Amino acid sequence: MTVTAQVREGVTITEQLADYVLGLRYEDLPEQVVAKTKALLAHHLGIALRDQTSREARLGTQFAALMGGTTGQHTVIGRRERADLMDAVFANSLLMLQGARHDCVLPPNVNPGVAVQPAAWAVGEDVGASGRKFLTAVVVGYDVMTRLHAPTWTWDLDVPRPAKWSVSPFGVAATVARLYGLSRERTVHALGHAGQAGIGIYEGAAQHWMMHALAARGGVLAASLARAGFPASRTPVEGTHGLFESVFLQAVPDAVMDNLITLGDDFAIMRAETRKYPAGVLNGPPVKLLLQLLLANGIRSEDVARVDLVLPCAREAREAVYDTAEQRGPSWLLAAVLADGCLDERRFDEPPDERRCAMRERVRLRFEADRPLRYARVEVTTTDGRQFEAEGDRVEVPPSDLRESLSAGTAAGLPIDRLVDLMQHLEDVPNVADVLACLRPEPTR
Amino acid sequence: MTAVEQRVAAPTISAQLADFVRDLRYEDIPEPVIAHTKELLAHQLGLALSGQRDESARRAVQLAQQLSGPGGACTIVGDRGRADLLDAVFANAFLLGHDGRDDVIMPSGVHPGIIVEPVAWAVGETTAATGRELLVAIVAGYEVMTRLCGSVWTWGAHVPRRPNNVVAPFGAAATAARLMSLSRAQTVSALGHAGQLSTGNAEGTEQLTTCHPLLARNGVTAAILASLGVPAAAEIIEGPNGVYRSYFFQDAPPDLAAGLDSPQREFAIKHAGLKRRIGSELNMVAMELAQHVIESRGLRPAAIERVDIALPVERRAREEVWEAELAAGACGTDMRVGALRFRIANILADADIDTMRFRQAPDAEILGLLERIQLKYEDGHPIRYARLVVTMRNGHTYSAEGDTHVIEPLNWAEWLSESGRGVLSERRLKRVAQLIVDLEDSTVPELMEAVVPDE
Repeated sequence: MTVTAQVREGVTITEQLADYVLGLRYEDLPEQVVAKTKALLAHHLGIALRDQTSREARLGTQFAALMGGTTGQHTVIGRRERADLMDAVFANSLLMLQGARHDCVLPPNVNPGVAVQPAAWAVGEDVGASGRKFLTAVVVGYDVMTRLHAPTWTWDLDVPRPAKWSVSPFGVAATVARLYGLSRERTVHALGHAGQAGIGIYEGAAQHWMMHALAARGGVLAASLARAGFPASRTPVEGTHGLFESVFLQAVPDAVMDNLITLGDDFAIMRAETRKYPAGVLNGPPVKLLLQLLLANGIRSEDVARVDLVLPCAREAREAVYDTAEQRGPSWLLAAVLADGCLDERRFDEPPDERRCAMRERVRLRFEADRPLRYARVEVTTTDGRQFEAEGDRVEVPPSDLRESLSAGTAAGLPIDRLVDLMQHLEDVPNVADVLACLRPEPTR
Repeated sequence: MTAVEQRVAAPTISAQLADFVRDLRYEDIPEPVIAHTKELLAHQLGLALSGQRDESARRAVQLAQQLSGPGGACTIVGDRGRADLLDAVFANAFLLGHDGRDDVIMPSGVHPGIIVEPVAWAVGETTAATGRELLVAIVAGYEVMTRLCGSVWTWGAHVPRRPNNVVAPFGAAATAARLMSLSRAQTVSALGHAGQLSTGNAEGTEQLTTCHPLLARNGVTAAILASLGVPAAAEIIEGPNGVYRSYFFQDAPPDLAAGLDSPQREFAIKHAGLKRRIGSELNMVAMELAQHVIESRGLRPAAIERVDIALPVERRAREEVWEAELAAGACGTDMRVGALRFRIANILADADIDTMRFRQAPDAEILGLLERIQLKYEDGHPIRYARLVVTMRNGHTYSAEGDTHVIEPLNWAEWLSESGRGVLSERRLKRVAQLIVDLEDSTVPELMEAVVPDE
């Protein structure tokens, strides 16, 4: 039997996804999936609680205040002010994006946490979802988003387009549809509207940091339209003009169909990685390798004549855009390590200073064929001619417990013990609004 | 000077558009253009008022109010409830476009009114803009959308799509930026964000009524982001990974924004046609031909053997979308409004171009007629061209061809009175008409206040 033959005949991809979205029960989730989901939720809440002054935090609160004022019904993490649904999703997504430590599933290179989670918190609060319902909705969002991205490195397309913000609304819509308790037909329509909500092109990489938050809004709106009874296409994924033909420029590959069959058995959330450094998953290894070389060999930055960073050829087109346009591209990150001895995410919002610019002059990128996508090799040449080299493709992130993840809440004056307790026993929480109540500082007396 | 230096030295397309958006003055716009802009405003406010009688549009209004919560800052046309800026834009765009009579500019097929007008109403209300500022912002928005489409026939691109999917957020952002008095740099950023917020594809027709309101929302979001100081790509249109390459699969023409600062420029809004009938502007010629042949020859549907409709080859990709929906048995009103064969079948059945049959699911008579209507495509015709050949069962044939659709002039007062009946009092409808006539002496909040029903 071919892969496509195993997929139910006459049933569209979104109908299959809708059946999964509505059919998955909390009891179907293995213990480790529940534990991982709670860990990722705590991880992103912890990021959101770290700083209320970053560019992301400022934008979210300013946008919400400008749109709906501060009298909405939804929690903005770490703020006393409330916001409307869409603005809360936007603000919380931005807060979770601080420091670029949000999660990633690679392959296919999607970032479900910063889209699915803020939507789940806001809508969960809206409907008074139980912890179990909430956890299940988050899991289905990760699964839908991850499975809809083709196993394609989008920079290799004839006309490269970032697909992650085209699949992101699907995941968000799935999560929201589940939380709203939409019917099968309306869940299909939610995914259909999500198919029209994809955004983003590769031009202007420096502003891509907020695209996740905008895509999350699009997904919530898609589900809201379906909830209000607006129909949408049943074939937004595989249709002649749907997601695959219009973004990936190809028909739906067998791999995607194959992935549908494992829904409910192989949970994408288990493959979600968090980051040790404030850098993308692909840029973590070069940062780690340079830090290791400097530390292990006692090299001071002023002793470094040059750093050669060798990356796979597959990244060449990407870095032509990201490395030149964004402080967070690989050569900028290595320059920051050389200049500061570490990656200080608070400095990302500042224009690069003279020292960092001088260090960047010493970093060269090279690209080699036949290397896996995550591969990096760092070659350091010192001013006295010594050479050091290290290679790798992973940054291991030690597991952190929920209390550690949420520790930033202490400084924010939140009831951290109660928050940790609720998160540890989220499956027993009758209403996730109780969790969100712990994320709002008490009014000043 | 090297090519790179030249690129740096020349203002980007966004910068040229931003200069136009910011620098355009009411005094620069010729009187006939102002008059046409007012006519479009009256037409589209009327459409929005009539949308209050449409069940689907009412649901959109409810959704907007639900998303906004209580106490929104903006008017929803024909409704006492208010909404936040983005939600009001959404609701008003939906009301305006509920039956597809919003305006269109050919040959690119952009629909500026459904995007630009609701944005201008809502943003103009929040900024307490004058009537003159409103008119200028509308003209600027139409210009940006139309310019950006250039000569691209988006249905002929490698991935066919509706032009508004790409250019609508730019028009919305331009209009909003003007009314928000954004700086030049902020206006460039607004257009940059707009390029990231282009959205939608040509899959399905069920969600057509929601796609424009969402695009309008996105354009305003782009302007708000810029107003909050978030920069965006300056080369969003012509950049190597910009809008033109990403969506149209070609380089942006370097002269896309040429002549915008010339006193002799033509304004795109002049070419915006008011649609007086429900349906795609591209289908109007064929529909009118069908009406003419049926009426002038007194043809009965039972006596018709077949109808062959020849269209320009450029329309093939577009019609294939509608045909695929027809073949799949899609039964939404949007599909029935837009599918040419379906509309021709309606006309054959009722001998009436204004038949409302598309509101109902196809019956046996329509299905039977559909089987007898064929589309074919020919090279060398203008985009509006259609030729209709009706072959009767007795072997007689009747044919007609054309490429021009004549739009009847609009009597504002009559139009507003008719479209707003049952929504606003006659007194208010007269006031709306008068405010538009005297727009130079009134403000957007006054106009918006007038389109709210009495208690």
